[in-house]
Amino acid sequence: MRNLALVVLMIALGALLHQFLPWWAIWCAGLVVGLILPTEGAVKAFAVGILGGAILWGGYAFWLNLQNGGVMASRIGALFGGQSATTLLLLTALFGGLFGGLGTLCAYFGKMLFHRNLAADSLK
Amino acid sequence: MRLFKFLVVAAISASLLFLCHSHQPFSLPFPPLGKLFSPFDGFWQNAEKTNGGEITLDLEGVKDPVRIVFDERMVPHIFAQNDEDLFFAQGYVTAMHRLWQMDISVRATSGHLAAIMGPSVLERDKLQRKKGLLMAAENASEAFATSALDDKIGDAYTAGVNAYIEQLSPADYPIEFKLLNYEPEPWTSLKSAIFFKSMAESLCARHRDLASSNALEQWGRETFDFLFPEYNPKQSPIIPADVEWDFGPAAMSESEEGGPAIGALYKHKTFPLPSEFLGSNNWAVAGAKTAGGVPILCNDPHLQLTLPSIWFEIQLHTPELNSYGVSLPGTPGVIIGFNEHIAWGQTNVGHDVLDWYEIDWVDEKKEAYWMDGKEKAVVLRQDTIEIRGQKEPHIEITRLTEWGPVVYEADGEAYQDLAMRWIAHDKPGKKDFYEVGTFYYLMKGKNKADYFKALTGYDSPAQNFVFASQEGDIALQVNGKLPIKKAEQGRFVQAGNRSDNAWSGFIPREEVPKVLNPTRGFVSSANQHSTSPDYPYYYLGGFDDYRGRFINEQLGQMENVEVQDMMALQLNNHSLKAREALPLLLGAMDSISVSGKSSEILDLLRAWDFAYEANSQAPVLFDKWFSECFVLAFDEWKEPSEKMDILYPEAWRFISLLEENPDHPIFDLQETEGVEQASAVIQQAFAKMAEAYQDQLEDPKFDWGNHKGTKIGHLGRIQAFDSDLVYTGGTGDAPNAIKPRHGPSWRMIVTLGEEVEAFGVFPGGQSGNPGSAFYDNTIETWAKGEYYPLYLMKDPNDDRVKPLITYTIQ
Repeated sequence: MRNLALVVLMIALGALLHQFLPWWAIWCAGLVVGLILPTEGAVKAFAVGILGGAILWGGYAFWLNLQNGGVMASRIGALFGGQSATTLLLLTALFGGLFGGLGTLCAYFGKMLFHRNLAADSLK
Repeated sequence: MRLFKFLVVAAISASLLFLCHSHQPFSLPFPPLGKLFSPFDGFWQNAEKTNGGEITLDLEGVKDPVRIVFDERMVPHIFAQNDEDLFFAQGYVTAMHRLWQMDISVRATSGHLAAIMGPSVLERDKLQRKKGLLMAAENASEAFATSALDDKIGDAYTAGVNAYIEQLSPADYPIEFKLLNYEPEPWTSLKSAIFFKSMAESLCARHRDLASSNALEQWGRETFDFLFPEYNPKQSPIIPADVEWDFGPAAMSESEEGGPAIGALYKHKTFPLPSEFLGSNNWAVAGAKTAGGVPILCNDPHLQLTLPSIWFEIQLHTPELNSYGVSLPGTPGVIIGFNEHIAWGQTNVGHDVLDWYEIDWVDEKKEAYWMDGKEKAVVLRQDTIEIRGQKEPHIEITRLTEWGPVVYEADGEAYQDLAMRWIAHDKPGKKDFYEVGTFYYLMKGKNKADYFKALTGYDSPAQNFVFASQEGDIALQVNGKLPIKKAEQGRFVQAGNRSDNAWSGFIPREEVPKVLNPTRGFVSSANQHSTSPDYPYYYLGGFDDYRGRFINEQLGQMENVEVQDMMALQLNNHSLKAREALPLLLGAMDSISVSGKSSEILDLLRAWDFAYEANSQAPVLFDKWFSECFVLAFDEWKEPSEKMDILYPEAWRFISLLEENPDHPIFDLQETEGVEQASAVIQQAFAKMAEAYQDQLEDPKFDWGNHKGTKIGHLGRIQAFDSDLVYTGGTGDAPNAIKPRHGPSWRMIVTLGEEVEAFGVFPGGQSGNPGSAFYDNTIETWAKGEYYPLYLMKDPNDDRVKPLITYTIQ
């Protein structure tokens, strides 16, 4: 349940940041979500970022494509050597997931680094 | 270890972010992929939804509220309270749909492509600068600014375009900006002037001075005169031959004739020119010949067919003005259209207004040249060309002479540097209004006096302006700034060291060819000669006879004309050239026996009605046969044409040679020992044609529509944004002049009864966005030969029009 909440948070934060930041907003959203993630392992951190990014990018693109009747997708598909709208949507989700996931992972490892340093400092 | 993991992930993030943010990373042909695929920024944002609604915009710059009703085809009907608001709104909606087209047209014309596309297009930019396109626009723009009217309209339009650009976020940019990864820049009045010059470049920059000089030098005067007569005796000029001229030519310079510059063959490759015979048709039929008793006006300009389309349909309305038609994205007003009282349209004037002068340099430094025995210094123009990916811009230096810029340059060769004298370079003389004003007064015009007055502002590119009014008048004027030339002046390259080789001024506007209400009951133009040879002023140029002769023949025979007859004429695929040439070709086949596929081909051609229908095979066979005949007959040209540009005779002349001089030495084949006549050429050409096509006759895809392969290409040559094959009939010599890449870019028919009734269609759509349903939605209608009714709405609630979206700007 908490995992689902994190994915939803990732989606919401991504949508919000995309209003103000360029295309890499999804990576930034991942950063923020990664920082507040509990430290339960890199795989989970990565998964939250991937899922959130892929759903946001893929889902929004799906909706835009739907209300456009697929006109743009068929043109861009032709530009990339005859790809279908589905392929483009998958690619979009892949990009969103990749950068979302890299964001959470980056933050996760960063946080871990910070934790260890703190621990090391306290030992002195 | 944790540090290592962090650094690895951070490094992967950074490099992927960088890679997906870069334009053409590692010289790969990719736009920034992250940006492009982000549904918040990239191409998905251009996936336009088409549902309608009411939209209110608060924009600074309008005085009173403006209502814009977009109809079912996304045509904006703009209702404003004053002129400034009207043209502001026109600029705004044009940019809304055609911003990238406006940008790229201006860049291509003025030589600003390298700034976005890099060094690969630098040579093209350099040539555009050298040819003086930017200089021409600067001259025009300065003049336009001196007219209160042109300036007011131009400023309002510019402000409207910029109001649209200013409220864009990068996510809203047209898709091409995203693919090429650059940003729109503010619009300026200079850019509108550049757009006019792009039309001048398309329509009045053709020249064959070099090719003619070379042909004259190669074949000698007698042969040249025999092969290249200036008039086709069968011609049917724009101004009917019975119109009399009540003036002589204005005084010419009295000095002896300068004459052609002979003595050298010009080795320069003529720079790329717009397609020959960018033709067009227009005509108006008087009420006496129509079923409804009121005039009907028709126009179909044949231009390069592109997506986005060259035309943007629009209605402009204020309490003092109500006009509908097509506009050019980049310039204010309606270019071809109608209002409640009159209608107007244009075809291109073929007069040669671009001449070449050989520069006689004082020395190798090329800083001064001889003129009437005195030294004249060149003026150096510096053009700065920004190049994407390079820090230093390229500085292009052009030598300006009294004639114009030196465009053709040959290092180290005497007498090969040529200066270009082009009418579109000239700064327009002082007038109350210019081109923009012309269209403004046409939009407001009520009668023939308004029409003739409006035309005085218009200089270039010269156009045959057709006119019809509710009052029952029809007229046609060959309108523009036209040089006064001595006989054959500008036919060949001329000596640039004597001032008496210059044009002797310009034909006074009262004396340009024109006709009002001729007895034959119609006026018409289709790029043929303006007049019969008795017109007092000499002119030459590129003229196209067949369409004009055929249309005049058809209009002459018609009575009780209805709109459907006019549609049928615009869509007529009959080729007069084929009608005149094919019997000659077939006649030469009578003396030999053919069998099998060859006789099948002959039967097919014998049964042909000379119509270039899409599903017909005969046009493919005839065209091939005819062009093979031409190549064989003029085999003497093969060798010289490899070394230089050399003029070929026109098709009509070739046909008249086949008919009248079949034993002329021109038909003797160079490769053979014997002496051939026309019939041998025709028979050999037939064999070549039969060999090429005899095995395809059974193929259901072997027909004219597929063979011609008409396609409407994207303006930026992005193939994914091209149309598919547009299966249509038509050919350059038929009224329906659909060629592979050119054709009727707008078909319009207007009846001028009490209630104006109009029909029109262009191949493309109102939107320039490939992601819009309105990008290419009218191609099929156009290809099928159908028209849309054009509604001149009386007010925003006119119920003939179903609004798709309504904007209120306040």
